[in-house]
Amino acid sequence: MSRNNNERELQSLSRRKLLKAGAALGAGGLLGVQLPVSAALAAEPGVAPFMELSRLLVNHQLDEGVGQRMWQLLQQENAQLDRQVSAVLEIAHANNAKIVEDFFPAIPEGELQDLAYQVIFGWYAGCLNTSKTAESFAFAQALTFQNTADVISIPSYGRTGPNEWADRPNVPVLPLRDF
Amino acid sequence: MSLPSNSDVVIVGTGVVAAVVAEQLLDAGLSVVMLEAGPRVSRAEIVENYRNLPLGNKGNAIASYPSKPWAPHPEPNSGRPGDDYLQVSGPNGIGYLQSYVRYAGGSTWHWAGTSWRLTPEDMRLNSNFGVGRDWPFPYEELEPYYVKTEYKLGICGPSDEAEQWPQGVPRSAPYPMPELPFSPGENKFTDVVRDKLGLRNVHVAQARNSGTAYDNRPACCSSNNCVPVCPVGAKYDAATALGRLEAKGAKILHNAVVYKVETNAQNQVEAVNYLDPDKQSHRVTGKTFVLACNGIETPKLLLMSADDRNPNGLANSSDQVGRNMMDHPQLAYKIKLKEPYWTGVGPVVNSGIMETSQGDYRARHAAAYFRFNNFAQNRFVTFDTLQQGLVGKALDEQLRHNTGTSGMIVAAHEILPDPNNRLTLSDKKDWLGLPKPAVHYDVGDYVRRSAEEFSGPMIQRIAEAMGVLEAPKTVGFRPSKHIMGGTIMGTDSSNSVVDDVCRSHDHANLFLPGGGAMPSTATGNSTITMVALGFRAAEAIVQQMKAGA
Amino acid sequence: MMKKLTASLIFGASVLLSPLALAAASDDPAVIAKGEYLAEASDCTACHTQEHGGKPFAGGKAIHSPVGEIFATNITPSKQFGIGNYSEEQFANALRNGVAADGSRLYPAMPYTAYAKLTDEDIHALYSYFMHGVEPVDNPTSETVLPFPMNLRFSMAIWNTLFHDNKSHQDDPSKSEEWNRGRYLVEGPTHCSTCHTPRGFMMQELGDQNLAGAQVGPWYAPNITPDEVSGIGSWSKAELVEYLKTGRIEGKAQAAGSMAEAVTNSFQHLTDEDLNAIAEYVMSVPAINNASEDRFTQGEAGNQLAQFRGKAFDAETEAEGARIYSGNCAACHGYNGQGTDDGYYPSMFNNSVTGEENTSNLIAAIIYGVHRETEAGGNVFMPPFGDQPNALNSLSDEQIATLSNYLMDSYGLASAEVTPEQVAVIRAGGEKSPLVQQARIGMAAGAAVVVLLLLGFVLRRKRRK
Repeated sequence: MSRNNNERELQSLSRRKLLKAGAALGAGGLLGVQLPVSAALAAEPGVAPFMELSRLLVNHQLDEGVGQRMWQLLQQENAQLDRQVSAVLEIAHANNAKIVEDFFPAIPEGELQDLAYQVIFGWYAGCLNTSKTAESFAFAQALTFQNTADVISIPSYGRTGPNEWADRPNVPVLPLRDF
Repeated sequence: MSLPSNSDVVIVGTGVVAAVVAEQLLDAGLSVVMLEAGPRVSRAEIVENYRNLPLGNKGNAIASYPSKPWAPHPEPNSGRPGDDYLQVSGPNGIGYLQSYVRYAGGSTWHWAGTSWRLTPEDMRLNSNFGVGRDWPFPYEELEPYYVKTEYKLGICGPSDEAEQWPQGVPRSAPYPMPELPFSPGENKFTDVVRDKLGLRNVHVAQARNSGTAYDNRPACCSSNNCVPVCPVGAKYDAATALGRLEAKGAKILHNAVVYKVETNAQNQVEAVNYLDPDKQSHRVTGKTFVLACNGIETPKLLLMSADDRNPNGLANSSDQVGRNMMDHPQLAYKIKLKEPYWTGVGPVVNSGIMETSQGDYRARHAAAYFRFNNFAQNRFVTFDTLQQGLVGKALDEQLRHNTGTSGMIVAAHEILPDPNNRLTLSDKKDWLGLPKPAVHYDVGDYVRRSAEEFSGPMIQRIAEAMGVLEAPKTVGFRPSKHIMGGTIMGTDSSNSVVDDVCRSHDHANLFLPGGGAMPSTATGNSTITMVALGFRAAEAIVQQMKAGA
Repeated sequence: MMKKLTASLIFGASVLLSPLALAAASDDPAVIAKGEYLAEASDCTACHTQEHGGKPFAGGKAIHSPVGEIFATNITPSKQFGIGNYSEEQFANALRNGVAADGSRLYPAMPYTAYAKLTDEDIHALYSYFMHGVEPVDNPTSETVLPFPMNLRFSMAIWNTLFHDNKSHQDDPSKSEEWNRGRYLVEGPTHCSTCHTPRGFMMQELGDQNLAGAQVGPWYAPNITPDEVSGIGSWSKAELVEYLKTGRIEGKAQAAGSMAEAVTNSFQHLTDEDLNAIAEYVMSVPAINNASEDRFTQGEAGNQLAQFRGKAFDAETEAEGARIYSGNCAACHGYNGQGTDDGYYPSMFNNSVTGEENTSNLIAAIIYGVHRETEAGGNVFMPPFGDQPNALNSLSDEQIATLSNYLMDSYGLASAEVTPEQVAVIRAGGEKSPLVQQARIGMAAGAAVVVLLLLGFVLRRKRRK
């Protein structure tokens, strides 16, 4: 029900500038240098398309290492992962998608849409499900925290010098943060 | 490690009260041995434990402190050694499913640092309102010990007298550090409750380094992680004191679970016995003994130590050990605000409306204070938002909106000492074969009436003033983790366990400083009151030992 | 007997030559205030006041030198235990020549080699301050006993002859007033070269390497010549002034160890004019290049979190250095090494500590922490990670080496290497000088030669008979 509303919303959204879409290992910028989790994992053929799809579904700077960990966990519970990733990527390419709003409505309900939501969930939450025993693969880099890091602390990471957070204004929700 | 035989003082526990008592004794030239049931851990490990938790478990403060099999602490629904450890029962059993940390440093590892003093009124409930118990001494006598506590732990607080607590009662010394700044949400909350309700949301005194290093520990950097752990040691926790205690000559033994306190023919305490992780028993003698190992573990140990001379447990001729279990029954309300407030900058608890906790109404129902928590809300809103099926910019905006407009307000109540709120030894055994503690708990009509007539309606008024989408609800009374009453203080040895310096009525060389001694709870975190009692007990021990020697 | 003869000869000579022989300490508040300012500029308190509540200038502090512990003396005007009986003449002799009133020699831990530059007028002001502006403290201090042969204080006379230039400052008329003032301050009261200039085998400053960088116990006082690559040539004059005032230039450098002390006790109290003069002079000394990489612009943001995040804390990982960083350092220094937005907590990259080939400061900052207090910069505190009672976490030599290598690789000069053995040396207070041992060997060798010569002489005489 809410998804139909969102489809209408998506159509009226203006395009956003895409940050480093499909970029190779970046140097500098907000993410800085990224190293693979392991050479073996980096060499897995499923990883690169997974990262390409991730960057299309989630239009933010995504850490390669985090993606490798996520792909590995998804792979363990979903034997169809690489095939599904391929299929969704095809839809994205067919729509000349640069950002998620370009192609998400075209993803059919069912296993492909579920995968798309799962990938988005993983990048935002830093784990694959809501359970207390899920394996975490990202915390500070989980996008739910990055999303508000300009306004509030990412817990356990300091934010300012002593008492320098005084008199911060109460900011509106918009504009969104660049991350 | 070989322990010195017959130390001056044997202290069971290494939490904040034990640490403060130990340091006073060491400074007075006494020898001190401390026995800690659990392990010594590094801050880095706890910090990483927290960061490694999945988002779904990050709200669980105890999950960063997995207990050891030999020293279980309550870990409900975890599949861990502490899962089934604390047996709760009664109409509000779930309200007493406490959280505490059996590691060196104790529960201040994960406390928020909130440092309310009692007021003169709080200490005379019975004389003033005909309910509960009076303290056996007035506020004026406790005040200098509060000052010692505030300087020892490093407590920052408001210099504006209008914000200080207790109100209108002059302090004999200023706070060592000034108040911490509010988050944007707290500023807005303060304005709203003042302008619309005429209520004062004050900066709470807290054990956190404000604007400067103190006690050779760094200043608060707003990592907003006080609960479950301060990553930099800006919040006082007893773990920060242990290195200094050892440098002063304390011998600290870890993974040593004391299970029996022994008396001699004169019914003085003579020794404690502990089990190590290999289940081997060891005996430690001393001259004076302090049990400061937590409000549940201390009465449990006394009961376990029953012998022929003390068939109901040590220090228990009054039959009050384990009775009168108290806490601050808490009602928490998640709120969805119309406009963003943004909590999550600065410490996780930074203020409170405390003026509501005083008044003649206490003859009828429990006092309550109210606070707007300051946790970053991301982990509370992420799953719900993701389940809405949004993507891209719409998702980011919704997530940001939900984070900024989510919050929690809490009503914390006082409770009366009820002998039927009782800790006993269950017949279930833990890994070492020791009885698991059981607590029967009923918050009582005094508290329920407060929720119905006072705190509940007040919460709704506060929420409305803040501007919420819908009237907030609560899941019911939950623990504040402020365990009090199990070794209650009084002048009458027939209905109390300890005297006014926390010395057992039954055993002149046994001291039980801590929350267990408090005869009334008021509404604010009990920690600095416990520590003030620790200072008093330490003073008495030093006097007693110097006189006796 | 010999010692007293030598001493009185020198004493007599200086009395003849000095106009200060009959000068008395001034009561003029302006002079005393000037003396106080000069005492701050000279940072007398850094050595002569004990840390953690010592009475000002009452001595007792142990200075860790590479040849052993030297105890700073009581320089309050106490007549029994301090310098209360010193004439201005004797005071000047101590400051300029390292000779105490009883004729005994001071070790150059007391930087008399620099204070020799002080003008008569400034000596007079200092003397007046110490006699009339400082509270007498009637407490004795510990005796300094260095290992043989360093304990033969008269040997310092020889050392002075070889290495000490006791001429006071002379203006260079071809240079500006500001430059001359700067030179006076740098070479005199603020004695920069005593830390920043490398020393020879006899522990004398190497003049041709002036300010090119030297080890000071566990810390490294870096190259502060205006060399663009290995010195501070990339700094503006304003930045150097800011650094002296606050101990910090964001995205470049921060003061710790003895420099943090110097900023806290000394530099932050100097006038803007004097600080600018110091900067003017320092930026003009010969540039000396002794490094191939600029230490201020190394490294970039990044992390290895994905390698261990979500796994058990004690699980095996190849990213151990990153994990140590995460648990112990990242809360302040950022999960990406980026520090805080307001710059209060420095980033790990673009940081002279990780950009410097000499890794002493990185190791020392971890072990000892950082503490500076300035009016402009506030109270800056990083906890230690050594064996102190207030260590936030006690890290082993192996852990600190692993952490340091991670920091250098990820955020600094990747070519630098740290070993656990190096960490142990820093933890122990820095390298010990081989001077003591060599001197003993030298003396033993010398004595052996004498014995052999005598033996040879005796034997030859016996044979002739």
